[in-house]
Amino acid sequence: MLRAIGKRDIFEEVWPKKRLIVLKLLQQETVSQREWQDLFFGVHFVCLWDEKGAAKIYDCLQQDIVEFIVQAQSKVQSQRGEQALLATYIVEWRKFFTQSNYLPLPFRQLEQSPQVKPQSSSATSSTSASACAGASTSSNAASSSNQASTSSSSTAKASTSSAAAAAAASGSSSASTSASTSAAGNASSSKKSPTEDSPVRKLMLDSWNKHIFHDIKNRLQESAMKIVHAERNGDAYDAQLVVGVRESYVNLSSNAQDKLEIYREHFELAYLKATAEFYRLKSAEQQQENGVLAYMKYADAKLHEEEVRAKRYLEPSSFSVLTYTLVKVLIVDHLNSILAECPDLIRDYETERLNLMFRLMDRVLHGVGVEAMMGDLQRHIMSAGLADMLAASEIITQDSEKYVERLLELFNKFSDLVHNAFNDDPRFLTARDIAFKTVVNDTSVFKMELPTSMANRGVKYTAPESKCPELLANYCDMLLRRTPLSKRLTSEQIDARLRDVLLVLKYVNNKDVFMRYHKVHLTRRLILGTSADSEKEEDIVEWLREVGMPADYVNRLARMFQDIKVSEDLNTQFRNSISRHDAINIKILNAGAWARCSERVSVSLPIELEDYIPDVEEFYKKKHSGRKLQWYHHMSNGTITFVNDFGRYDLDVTTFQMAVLFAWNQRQHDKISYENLRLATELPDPELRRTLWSLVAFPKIKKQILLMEPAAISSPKDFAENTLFYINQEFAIVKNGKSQRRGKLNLIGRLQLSTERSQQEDNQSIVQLRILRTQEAIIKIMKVRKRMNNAALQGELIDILKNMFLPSKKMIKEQLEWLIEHKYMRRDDDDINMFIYVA
Amino acid sequence: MKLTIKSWTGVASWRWIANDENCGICRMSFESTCPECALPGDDCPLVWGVCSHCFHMHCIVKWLNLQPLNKQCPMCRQSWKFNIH
Amino acid sequence: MLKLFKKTKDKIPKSEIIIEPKELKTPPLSKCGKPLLLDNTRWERRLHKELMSLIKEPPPGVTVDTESVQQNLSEWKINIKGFEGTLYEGEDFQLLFKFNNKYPFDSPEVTFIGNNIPVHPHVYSNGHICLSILTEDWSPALSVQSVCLSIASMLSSCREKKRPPDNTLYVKTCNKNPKKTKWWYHDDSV
Repeated sequence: MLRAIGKRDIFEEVWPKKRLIVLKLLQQETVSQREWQDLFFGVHFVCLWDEKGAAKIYDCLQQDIVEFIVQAQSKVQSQRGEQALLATYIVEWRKFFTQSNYLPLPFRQLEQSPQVKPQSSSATSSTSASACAGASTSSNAASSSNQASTSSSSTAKASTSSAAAAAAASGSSSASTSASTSAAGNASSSKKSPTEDSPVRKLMLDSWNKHIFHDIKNRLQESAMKIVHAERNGDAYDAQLVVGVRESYVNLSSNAQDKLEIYREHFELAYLKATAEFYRLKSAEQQQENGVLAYMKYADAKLHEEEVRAKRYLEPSSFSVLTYTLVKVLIVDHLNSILAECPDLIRDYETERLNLMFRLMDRVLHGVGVEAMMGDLQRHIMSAGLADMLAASEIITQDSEKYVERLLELFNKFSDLVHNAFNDDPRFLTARDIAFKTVVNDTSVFKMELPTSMANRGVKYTAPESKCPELLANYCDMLLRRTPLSKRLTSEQIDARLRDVLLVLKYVNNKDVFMRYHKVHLTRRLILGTSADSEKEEDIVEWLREVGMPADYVNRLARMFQDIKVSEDLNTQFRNSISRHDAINIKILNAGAWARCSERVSVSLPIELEDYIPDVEEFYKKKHSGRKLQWYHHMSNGTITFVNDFGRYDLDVTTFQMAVLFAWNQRQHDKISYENLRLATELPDPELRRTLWSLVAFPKIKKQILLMEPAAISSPKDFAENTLFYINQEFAIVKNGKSQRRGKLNLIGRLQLSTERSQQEDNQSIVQLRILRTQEAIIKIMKVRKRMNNAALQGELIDILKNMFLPSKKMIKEQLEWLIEHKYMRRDDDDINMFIYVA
Repeated sequence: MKLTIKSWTGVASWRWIANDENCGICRMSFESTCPECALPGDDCPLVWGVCSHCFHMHCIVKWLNLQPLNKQCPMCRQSWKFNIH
Repeated sequence: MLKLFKKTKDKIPKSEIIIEPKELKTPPLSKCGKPLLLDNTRWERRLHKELMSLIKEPPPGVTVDTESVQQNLSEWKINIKGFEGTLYEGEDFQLLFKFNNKYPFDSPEVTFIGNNIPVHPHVYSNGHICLSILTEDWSPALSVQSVCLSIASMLSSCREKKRPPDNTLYVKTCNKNPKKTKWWYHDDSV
């Protein structure tokens, strides 16, 4: 039987009939299930019995395909109009493409044959004898045919992704081209269809590429671009045509590694070019006609529109390159003219337009546009902020409340701008912060003078610093002390304002100045017991810790509160031990924690007090052996009752004032000379002058408690040895123009924490501390690093010190020299900028 | 006219009454702290031995902890006893 | 003079004496207002203080080799001169002090180094010194200066230049670190 069949030319015998089915399939004519199965069988049969069968079928199939394509080509080429050409092409292409998913199925067996493996379309006349023999091949064919038969497809319409199932479900013979091809198109870029690797399919697509596409692809492309162009101009169009063209580009690729090669090199390129050209013209036109601001809206709208369009017409892989092209044409090419509008928009708080500009600029690579905008913002905040402060300088230099409020108003305004216009983008927040820093640390409105070098170390000159930290501390004091301001505000309002203070403090370079003033104020509040709310006092200490104030500083503040609490306990114990001292309070401060406690001033206390003091000292000695009390009478204070013919008044006074006033207790009508008062009180000259002045010229009271002779002295410096002082027998507390019979008056004012020291000396101690901190930090760094160059050292130094102050270059240099001179470190012999730690 | 004191708040600090200026162990001033403390005063107290020698508490305790057997005063080598007044 | 010795295992007291750097402290201002420079490594400050006073006000016959100290604060070379009127008059000796991070709670390791090791009944030819304050009689109240003075006086009081009787055996068998020798101090009179 084998031999009998072998003698005949099986191919010639079988194929002509089967070929008719192939032609029908190509033409998309209806094919019965029987015919479809026949085709499978025919291919199988020929391959089985004719050793060159596979090659013969392949050759024949190729001829048929080419013939079909040539027919289709002539149909397409005969179209004159763009739309018609496209439409015809797409119809033909879709038919063909659909078939390319089905026609290969019956020819699967050919895949096994080395005769059809080669890439060339002509089958080789291989003599290979192994052609498709064997049971496995036949069973393969059978299963293929089974599969096809269950699909019962005649016109072979099915989705390529799940051929069998989908085909079984549809089962109809008519091809709804649009739906199926679009499914096929989608699938082409995702899942593999079962026929995808088939040589027959490749043959089909290659032939199409060679005989139609190659010739007319430029026309196709142009036509598609014309449609897109029309669409951009708002004319009627048929989007499906463009989609169809793209699909044929995508599906014609025979490069397995890069399926989008043809698409990218032709379609995408043409699309990008057309897009760029279109908008190059349009954008110039738009800008000229409607101005830059309108143009920004246009650009924004078009960017969006084109992104939507790209989703229709382009493969996803093209989106980013398209966006790049669009950004280039629509934004980058107009960068300068757009950015030129930025300063004015910021000035006018045009948040919406700024936001639009920001969105546009944020698309530009490398942040060039955004950086320019940040620069504009920074410059604006600086100049507007400084101008604002300067305009209000008369009020704000006098009034720390107004200053802080003004500053906060500015901050909030600019923070709103950054929020609304720039969506709180971190880059703009940074620009804002840099600008705030400049405003806060500016010295043109007001400043404090700090000596840059110590007096004992050569030249002395001053470097101006912002007064901001001092004013912040003053404002803090107003909120925390019992003042009209703190009484007016609710607890929540005070909290909010304290938070505001900390916000501003964040921008202050020299926080050490704030710390010093804050501590001085706190000392006064704790000594005089004038805190509005002791809980808040302790809250703010923790807040200061949270915002990064140095731990040792914060710990010292906490220590101050602890001292006050311990003192309260001590007072209770003291009063319990000695019943006659109900009126006595003691506050024992731990040296070191408090602001400047080291100085002591001698004073001769009133006899009444002199009695108490030994009792207190004795009591303390019993409580704490090995310790000795040291009195700080310049901080001690009390309340005295002053009785005269007009009434009975409670006066809050310092111990010095008390000492002076009690000089008259035994001789109330005497006039006592300055000299005699000094002998009586034993106060040092500057303290006595200051104390007397506070009793003869206390601000804002109608009647002073002391009078002097001559009365015309205008300054404590003008007191002479023989200037006479006497009790004002008419003294009374006056309220609303009326003398009161009873009342309370505070004559302490601002408690002096130190002896007579000038502001200069105060500031000097700030500088002194800075020098120490700088030296310490240098040693600390060098100890770890051992060797370090100047620049790196300065960097680390500033990092360590920045929560306290910003060390000046000059100071760093001086301290480095000092440390070198004192052998803590040395310079490298070969490199003057290299420092070496010396243990 | 008559003046009387209604109340008075005396402010004071305190210092150690020590025989020496410096701690014999760490050589730091008694006015400041031992090397391991930040704040002078209550946080870094002084202690006295029966032998009358005085040290930062932290310094002498550290030394005594290192002497398992003979706990002696570093200054006079007498057996160390805290002088509790 | 008689001395016995035996080696003992390292006995490092187990206590909480681990020294770590901590937060910078605020420097106190000195009374004259001149900044007191603070080296923040806690106990090292004592060593630094000692060094400064030894450089500024050295006791007679004692000089610090500042060159060596600059390299490393934990090893000092100190030169001492034999005093006039003693057996060592005109001789120069060099001591090496090594401090560990437990100083001053732990004694420094002190040895004679260099070409001229004094010939002395308490000094071995390898430079080890038999002196009780360097081991069991150490006290944190002692200092580099007091150790130098003790050694100087030990030399000065010597009446006969000779090595310790057990010198040969000791030098052969001893640990490099003299502190690891368990000394028997029998005779303090020499």
